[in-house]
Amino acid sequence: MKRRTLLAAAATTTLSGALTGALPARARAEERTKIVFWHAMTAALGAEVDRLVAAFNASQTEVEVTALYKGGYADVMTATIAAFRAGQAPHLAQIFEVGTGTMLAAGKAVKQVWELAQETGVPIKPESYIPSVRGYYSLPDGRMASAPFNSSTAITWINKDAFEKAGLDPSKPPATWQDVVAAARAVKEKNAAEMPMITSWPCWIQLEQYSALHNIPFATKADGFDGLDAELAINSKPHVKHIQRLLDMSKEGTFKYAGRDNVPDPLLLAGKAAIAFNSSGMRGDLIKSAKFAWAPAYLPYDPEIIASPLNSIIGGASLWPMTAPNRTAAEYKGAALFLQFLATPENAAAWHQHTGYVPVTLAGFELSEKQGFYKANAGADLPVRQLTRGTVTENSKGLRLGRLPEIRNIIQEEIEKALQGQQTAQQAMDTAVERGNKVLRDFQRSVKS
Amino acid sequence: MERRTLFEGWLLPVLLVLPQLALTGVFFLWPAAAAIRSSAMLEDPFGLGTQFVALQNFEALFADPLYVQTILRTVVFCAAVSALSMSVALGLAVFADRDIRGRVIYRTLVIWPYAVAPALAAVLWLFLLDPHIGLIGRALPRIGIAWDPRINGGQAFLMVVLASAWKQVSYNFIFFLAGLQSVPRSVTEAARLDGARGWRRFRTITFPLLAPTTFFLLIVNLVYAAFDTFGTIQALTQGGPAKATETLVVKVYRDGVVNVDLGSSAAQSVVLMAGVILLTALQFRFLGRRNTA
Amino acid sequence: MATLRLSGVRKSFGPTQVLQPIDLSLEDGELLVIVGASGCGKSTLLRMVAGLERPSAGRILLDGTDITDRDPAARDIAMVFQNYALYPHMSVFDNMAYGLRIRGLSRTEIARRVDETAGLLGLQALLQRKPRQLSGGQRQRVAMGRAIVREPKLFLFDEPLSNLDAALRVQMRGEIKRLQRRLGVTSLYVTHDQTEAMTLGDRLLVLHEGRMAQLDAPMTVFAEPADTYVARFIGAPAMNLLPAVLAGGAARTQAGPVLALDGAAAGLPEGAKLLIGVRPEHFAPAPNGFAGTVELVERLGSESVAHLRLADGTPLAVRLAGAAEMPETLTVAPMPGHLHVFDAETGKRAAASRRAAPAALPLEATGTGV
Repeated sequence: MKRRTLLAAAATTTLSGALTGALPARARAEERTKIVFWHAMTAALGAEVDRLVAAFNASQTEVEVTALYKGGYADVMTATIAAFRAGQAPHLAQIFEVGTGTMLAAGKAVKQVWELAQETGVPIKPESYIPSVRGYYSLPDGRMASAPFNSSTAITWINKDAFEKAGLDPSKPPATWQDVVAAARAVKEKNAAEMPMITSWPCWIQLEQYSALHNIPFATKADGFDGLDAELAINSKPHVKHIQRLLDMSKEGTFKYAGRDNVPDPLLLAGKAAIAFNSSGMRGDLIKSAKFAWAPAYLPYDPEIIASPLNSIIGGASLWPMTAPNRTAAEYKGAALFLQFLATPENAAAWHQHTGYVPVTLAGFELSEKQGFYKANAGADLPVRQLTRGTVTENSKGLRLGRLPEIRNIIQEEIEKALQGQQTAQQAMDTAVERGNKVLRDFQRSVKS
Repeated sequence: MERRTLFEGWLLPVLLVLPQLALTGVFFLWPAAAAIRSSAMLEDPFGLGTQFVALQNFEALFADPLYVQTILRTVVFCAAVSALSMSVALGLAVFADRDIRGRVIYRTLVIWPYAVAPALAAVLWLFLLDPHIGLIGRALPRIGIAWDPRINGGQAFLMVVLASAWKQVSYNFIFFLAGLQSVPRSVTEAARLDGARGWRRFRTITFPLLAPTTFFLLIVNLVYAAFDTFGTIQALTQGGPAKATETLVVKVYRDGVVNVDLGSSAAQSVVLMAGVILLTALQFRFLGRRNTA
Repeated sequence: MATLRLSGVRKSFGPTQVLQPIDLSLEDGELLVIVGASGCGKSTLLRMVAGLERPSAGRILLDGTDITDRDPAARDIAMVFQNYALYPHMSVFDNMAYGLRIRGLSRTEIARRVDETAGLLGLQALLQRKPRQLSGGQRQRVAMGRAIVREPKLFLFDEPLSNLDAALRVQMRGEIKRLQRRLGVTSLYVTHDQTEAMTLGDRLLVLHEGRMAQLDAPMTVFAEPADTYVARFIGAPAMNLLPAVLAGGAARTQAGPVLALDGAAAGLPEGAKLLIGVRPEHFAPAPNGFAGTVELVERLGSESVAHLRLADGTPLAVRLAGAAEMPETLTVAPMPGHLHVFDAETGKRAAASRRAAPAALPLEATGTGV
């Protein structure tokens, strides 16, 4: 089977040049418009993508979507860029949120969603998406650049067993950072968990989310939305105060720094920590493998900075329509139809319920509620509620910075250095800003060229 | 006697050499040329606007003290990995070269790690050295060693050196064993009769005779440590904490693949390429000299 | 300079016995050549003396001191290897100085000794060269020099000339003999080459399948080989062995002629099976005697070797002076006093056959095939 396909493919490749003009008309009439969709979803998530694609292909006869797993997020992005440069870009690419800045600067390589909708006449309405989700992927004037797909946000995961052991009430998770410090101390005192507090994604959660919640800028120019000349603003007093808090906690043993990005995840799943900051998307894994009682909680805030916290921001990825030479109107329309299909309430709700990502449309959220999903799954609506609380400000829309992965990396490096005792919190943040700004200027220079 | 086949005409020879030339061209020369070209350009990821900037990318690189630090760190890392993996392998090979019971089993066991994929090897080392889940990592604090490579840069460096070196021991072992077995037995016997024992005999006779093997392995190990350890480092520390384990390839990967900073990563690739060319030239020169002598 | 004594030295690898117990002693300054076909155990014997192999049993005494369990490094023995085993990464000087440095000699003493030895061997001009820059003969000399410079108690030579071409071999053979005499170092010399064995040794030890076949002065071994193996191994072309039966004090050969033994077979019963040994050069054309078809003639210039086949199928080699034309058939008879009598059952020389038997003229020609 496989060999035949390969042979056929080889034959096609060799002969296509000679035969394109001579292809029988019959074959063309039978062919549906082919749409290629590159993604980074593995295992259960990949299966869910395949299910949605199959459902779409079965729902109509015009378009046929082929979903291809292209590796991790970074791989998909690199592959997409390489493919575009070779004139072979996929119709749709799933790009992680930190790549948004790069994609927005991609000019004619991308057909932004608003433009796609306009050209093809397929309605893809921004209003139907949850504001804090769509905000991340929209232009300053509200036009949507890419279609939200898989989004999660950061929340607090409580180890209820450890809380009880420490004499804390697991039904009242710490709401403020002051509460968190007190709870972590109690855990340490009672030795109720190996680690009182850990955090995954140190930069995303402890700085990006922290900035949004407290309505303080992560970067100037409305977190970069208003121009490429944005500069990092994370050496402000409230930021430094928070980093100092983490340093202090680390010193007294109430916070355990367990690595960058998702490296600390296994510690959460193994129940080693009483308080763990992580993605809301960990829910599925917790259900599957946690051998302890757990509960989601809102991210803590500092009442000395803000009386009531704003919405959190998202992470995850969105779908970007790509251009290529010779791409036909029918193909763009096919891509638009698929995006429209994904955003229907049924599909948005199903995706949310099956994967643990937040529903990206309001209708999908409401449908899930109507279907009783949140009654059956206590706390599953907490991420959405955190994402939708308050009014989105320019500090809580998300980040619009080029080379954000590198900036995250720099910030993590500087925090690590501070944790090693090599520098103070203020020094760490000052250096991070200085190094980060250099990356931003490089990016600005490269896209302006 | 030299065997030589003569071809009539030029078509057949050209056809026979063509695949090799094509492979070299497509998989070596073309990418290398593309990297050199990109290193002189300032361009956005999608190649929509490209601007010739001559050596600016290189200037920026070497003006960055962090990059220079990364070069130095890479040199130390390569030296540490090569020294460790080669000395351990040599020790094991010397034992395996002796007439000991169970030699075949012993050799097979030593060769095993080479078959382990880098990422998997890294996972194995995590299971050993992770401060929270690792067998050794959890035991160390109990004997009074504050082991935490997530924050302690020196320990993280030690960890990636150990894991990277371990992976290469098998390879070195095979070559050292072959090298030891090609040392004429009578020469070591002559040294024994001359009164040289144990370590002295090894130092003055065996080791100098292994020099070609050692030099070859040194180059291979340096190149390995510079390039093939990416998977191990990425899986173990991602270059952290701070920059403690960031080597040049880790940085190229991050700048090129994650940040799509093509100009800079191309310039870094060219720097790396220059390093490999230098090492290879050294090796050719050394081996060439030996062969003509 | 010392004496060497081996008593009951034996070696087996697993169940395979490669050396039967060997008892041997060398006088001070003596050169003993051990000769035998490959696989006879001669190299193993040498390596045991060197300490490179452990004997399975027995003791080795050097100058009266038991060195059986001593490391080779502590034996004060030098060895010249078949492939020279020079240290390829060291200059000639360093090759020779290596053992002296290990013994902690002073720099000036080392230079003096190496220079002296190099002078002895004509190596002065080569001292700074590496072994790969030397010819085979030069390497051989360096190997010798490396042994000599140490002034050891004992020299061991393991087929040191077998990698040289014929002319060089003859030259080096002489040189080794000369040096050994001059230095007077007790030496064991292993070879498979009978010419080397005959010309070099004060005494000769013939090893056969791990057993001492004969230990004697070279000329004794030649003149009175102890058994049929030695008889055929020493001397070229090999000694002819004629099957015969003892009949009335004479040997009735299978080929026909009856040879008078003159008591050489005394002690053997009437009718005993014998092998009568006659060297090719001890045959001469004669009217009566062994008649055979000439199958092959090797003309060596000053002499010719004719290979005959007797009527009963026994091959016979005959050495004749000059390069005369050969007839198709030839009749030869052994010269007087040159018969060797061996017991066909044991292969051993008949006890009474001390010197070659006297008169050996055929008494009668009853051969069937003449």
